[in-house]
Amino acid sequence: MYPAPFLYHRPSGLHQALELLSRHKTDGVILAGGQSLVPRMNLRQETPKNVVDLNRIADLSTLAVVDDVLEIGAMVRHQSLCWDAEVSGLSLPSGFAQLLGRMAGAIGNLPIRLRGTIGGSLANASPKAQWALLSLLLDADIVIENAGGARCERYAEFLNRDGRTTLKPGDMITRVKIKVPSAHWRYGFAQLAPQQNRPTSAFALAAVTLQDACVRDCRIAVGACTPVPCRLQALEDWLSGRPASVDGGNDLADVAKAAVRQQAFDLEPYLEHLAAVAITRAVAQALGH
Amino acid sequence: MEDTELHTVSFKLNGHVQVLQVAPRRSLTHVLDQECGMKSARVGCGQGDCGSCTVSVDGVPIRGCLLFAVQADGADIRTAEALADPAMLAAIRKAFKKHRAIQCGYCTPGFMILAEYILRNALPLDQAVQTLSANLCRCTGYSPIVSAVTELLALRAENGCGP
Amino acid sequence: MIGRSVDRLEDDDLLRANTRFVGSLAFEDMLHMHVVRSPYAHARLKTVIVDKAAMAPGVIAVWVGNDIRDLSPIGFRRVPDRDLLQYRQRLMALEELRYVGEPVAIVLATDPYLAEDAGRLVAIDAEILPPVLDCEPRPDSRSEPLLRGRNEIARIEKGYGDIEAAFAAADHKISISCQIARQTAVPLETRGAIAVPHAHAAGFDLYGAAKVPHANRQELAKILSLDIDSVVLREGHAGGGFGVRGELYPEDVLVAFAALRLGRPVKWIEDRSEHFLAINHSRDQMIHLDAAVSEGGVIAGLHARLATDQGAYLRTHEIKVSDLSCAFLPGPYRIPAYRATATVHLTNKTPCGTYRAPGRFEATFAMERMIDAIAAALALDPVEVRRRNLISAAEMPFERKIEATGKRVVYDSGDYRQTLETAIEAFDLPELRRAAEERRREGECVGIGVAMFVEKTDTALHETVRLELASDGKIEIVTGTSSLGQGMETALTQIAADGLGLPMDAFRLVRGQTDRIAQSGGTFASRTTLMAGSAIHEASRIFRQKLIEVSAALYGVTTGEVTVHGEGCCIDGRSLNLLQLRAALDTAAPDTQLVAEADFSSGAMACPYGVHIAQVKVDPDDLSVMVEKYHIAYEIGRAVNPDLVRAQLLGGAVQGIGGALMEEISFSADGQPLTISFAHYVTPRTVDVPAFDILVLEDWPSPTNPLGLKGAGEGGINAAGAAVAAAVEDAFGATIAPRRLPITPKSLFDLLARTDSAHTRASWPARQGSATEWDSHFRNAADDTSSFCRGINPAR
Repeated sequence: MYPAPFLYHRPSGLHQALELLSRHKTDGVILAGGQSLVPRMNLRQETPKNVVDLNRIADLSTLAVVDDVLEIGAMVRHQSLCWDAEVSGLSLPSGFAQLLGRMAGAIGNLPIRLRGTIGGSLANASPKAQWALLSLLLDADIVIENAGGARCERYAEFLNRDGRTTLKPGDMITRVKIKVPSAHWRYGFAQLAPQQNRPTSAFALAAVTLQDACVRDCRIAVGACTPVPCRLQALEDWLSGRPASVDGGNDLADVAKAAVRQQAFDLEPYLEHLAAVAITRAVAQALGH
Repeated sequence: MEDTELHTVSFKLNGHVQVLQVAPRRSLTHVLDQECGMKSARVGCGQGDCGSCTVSVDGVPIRGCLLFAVQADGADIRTAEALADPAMLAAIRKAFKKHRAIQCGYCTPGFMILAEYILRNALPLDQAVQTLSANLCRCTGYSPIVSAVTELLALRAENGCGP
Repeated sequence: MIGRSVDRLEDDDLLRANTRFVGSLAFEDMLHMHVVRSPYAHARLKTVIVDKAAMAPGVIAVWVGNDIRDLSPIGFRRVPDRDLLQYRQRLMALEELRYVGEPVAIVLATDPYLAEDAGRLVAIDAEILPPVLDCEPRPDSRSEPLLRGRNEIARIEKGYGDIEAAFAAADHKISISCQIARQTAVPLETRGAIAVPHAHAAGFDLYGAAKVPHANRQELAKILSLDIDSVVLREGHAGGGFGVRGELYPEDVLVAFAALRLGRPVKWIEDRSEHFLAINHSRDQMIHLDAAVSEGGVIAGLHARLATDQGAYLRTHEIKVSDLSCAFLPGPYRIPAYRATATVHLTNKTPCGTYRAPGRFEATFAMERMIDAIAAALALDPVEVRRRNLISAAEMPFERKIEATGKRVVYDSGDYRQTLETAIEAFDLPELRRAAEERRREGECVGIGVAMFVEKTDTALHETVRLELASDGKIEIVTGTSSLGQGMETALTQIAADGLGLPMDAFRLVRGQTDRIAQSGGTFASRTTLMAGSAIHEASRIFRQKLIEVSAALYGVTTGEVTVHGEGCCIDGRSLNLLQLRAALDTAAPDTQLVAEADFSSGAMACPYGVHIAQVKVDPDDLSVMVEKYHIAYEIGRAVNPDLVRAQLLGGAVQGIGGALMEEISFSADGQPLTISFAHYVTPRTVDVPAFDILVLEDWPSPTNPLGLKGAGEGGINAAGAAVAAAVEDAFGATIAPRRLPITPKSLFDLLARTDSAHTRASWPARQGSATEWDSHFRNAADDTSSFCRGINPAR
């Protein structure tokens, strides 16, 4: 289990990195945290001739709020978002900051989180990636650069329904931009795995605002059990306007299941059940049950 | 393609500077073991799942099998042979021994690295247990390892800082 | 020293990484071997094209099966039937590829990375055949059996008593079908071997040995046509064994072959994905039980039918695991009439061998599930049904009237009822049950499961040890048994220190070096402390006598004036430590060897036994199972080091919880293994571990050996599957009966869904039907559910 030989490049700046990627369009890969890429290289499922290591590009590791938009550099490690010290200076609404920490903390395990990056995760587009779920729900913009320039894509457009991204050879995700939600939003996140600390079977993320004890705005997404994370429009519609005390029991679960079914992923009954459980938990949490 | 391209890498290993010529594809674990003689650097799975290869890189536990040695250029690396704080190392060894946290010993260095991180950051017990869940052990049934770390955390709390 | 929980002698080295794991060993001029493996589950091998690989950088040699045609396959350690020899695995495939991972070629190169590079250049030309993936190929499947007609290669029959009469007279016939998935041990260190050829003669040293170095030496010498003394096995540290490590595998022979042929040291280190393909798998049994039961729940007769999916070949353990399942299935119960039939089937999967409590983990699971099924069917307390069927103390030693791998099954000693009552009281079973019931009333899904078991400590082979005063004044304890992490150095040194009346630091244990001792049975079936310990006990008696005689002669006193004392001897009032004695001997009588050798053998196996009580909590929504508490009462005769016994029980139980809830090796429809990493083969982690309460009992010393010992290695895992399954059943108020391991959330979901939708039976009619008939039952009925229904509420 040894990787095939490759040439190693360690650019110190973004420009140099993009140049390298442009030069090695057909046989180059980006090495970010390496927690997914290196296992694949070790198994020779991936045998790049050129590896461009982004770990020395300081610009890619910044975390900032600019004009009410949270900008997360592609090389920000998952664990950074769990650490108060790194997040508290951003003056994010506390519910939102907590959500970031909870979702980051649900990734893999500590050594993996300390190394793995948000940009790498988004580029991999694994259906089990927590950041994909968050990016979809909060309409994140993905900033993609290459030697020719930069572009910005809404996450829903960035990821196709078949699980492929719009990334082309030479492209690099450099930042994720999330409009900081108002402090009114409340969140719920549930992740299910056969055992704790195991690959996720299903997860769901819900965000709501309330008015007069009723649901006003509502966004719900489910993933891991589906080929790509998806918003559940039917469930969002159903929930909007209902009292926040809405029975978190059978009704919600049934509607959740129906909403999942409507996405036509043709899930086996067990996964459909898990998806419903995750959604129900996430919604109940967001509603403060 | 052969490994014709070698890179000069220099890092601090257990407080001593090492300068090595490495091919890019050599993992940090491989180099620590084969070139630097660190017998605690061990591969268990090569996939980041088991944690037998865990070493401390710039003060945090990292999977050595998922880091190319060339990436460690300039890093401060600690292995279970010589953790940064000798008193803490001695305390960890003592607690592991006392609580029967070792059987075959293959996973032990990786767990010692995690234990050191837990102690240095004084993690609460539930987080400590979660953190220890990063690594696999197939002999002890874990609860002796948890007992050892629990005692170390209690000692640390008693003494204010560092056991 | 016996009976004290002293610190482990092994730990200081392990904590300082002052270790000799084979991966970190290196020799001058060493080459590295890479094994090219079959990517197909079943194929006719036409050619293996190695030209490109042979030309690759760093490559010294590439060999395929044809190059070593004359080397015989690895033999069995015991030949139960010469007919079975035809199913042995060749070192490398010749005409047929029978499982994904079967060795096809080896590459020898100057560097392990280069060896793997070249391995990728080996091309396999083969005609793909449909694989056989079930014990009985289904009539509708396209599979072509490995063997003409059917893939059943062996049938084991055991039994005693009048089974027909028992069923004819029974009030009830109760039947269940159980299944235990394919699992393996996955020690944290993968396998590895380094063969170092001898400089001036044919022969080699093999590093990385474990478990059975002497047996492997013999087999290696035989296959490679060498004198047995020219093959030396060397054990360093081993990162876990559990039955799978240390068997002789093709790679061990191949490194030796390559080293001899090339005259250079050759190293091979298995990687983890190879490990999942190459190391012995285990379990993978279906067990169908029919019991003839009285109104009061007493079993009059038991009919067991087992089918084992053995994988592609028979390895060193041939069909032993199935044999053990049949022999130990009746467990601690009397069962006046018993019949067992096991069939062993070849399939296109990795071959199976032994894994901690081989055959017994499976058998206990099935037997204990049967006891619980009887209790459910007759509305009796499961503990009471156990009480009514236990063998009594008055019946000890209990002759089972069947054999296990050619040895009579005799339970040596014990009072099963007493141990059960002790466990019930010590762990307060009534309170555990009451609390669980209360929590169930409050809507939680919590249950308690009880399981009993009888283990076997193997005594089939004899064991030789030697004590020897070394030049540095230490007494060397030389044994061919093996250290796999269990703490045997500590335990055996305690026995020697106890026997000689000297402190533990007077000794140094030498293990696993075949040139240091002529014989050893090895380390398996929990035998090491019992067998090597008994031999050490005897050797230390002889050594003590010799020590006194030699000292007396040296100082011209009578033996009566010498006592073994302090750090050595006391001679006529004068204390002398061993180093001083050695120095005095070197001066006065340099040729004097202070050596004592003893050999221990025992006609009868020792049978430790015990009770497991598990408490589980099932999440009613996602159906994940958490073991909250785990209790073990274990009768070990005499515990040399009680802490080490507890450590074995705890570690074994957690491994067993993995087997009960998580671990399963699975294959795609075309025979591709789906579980080749820890990400897919899920084992317990820290968060999965329950609180433990372990009671080590020493009420019934074994009469089979002078110290009264019974083994410690397998009592922790043996009943874990049974206890956890019973607890899950209880958590659902006995509305489901999980009879397939592992009990994953998905399997529970399916089980509950079936309970919801279908007609089900509390028990089946006993059937004496054909194999096909009951086999079709297996398929439908592992996980059969009883007649109550309970929905799952996804929203709770």
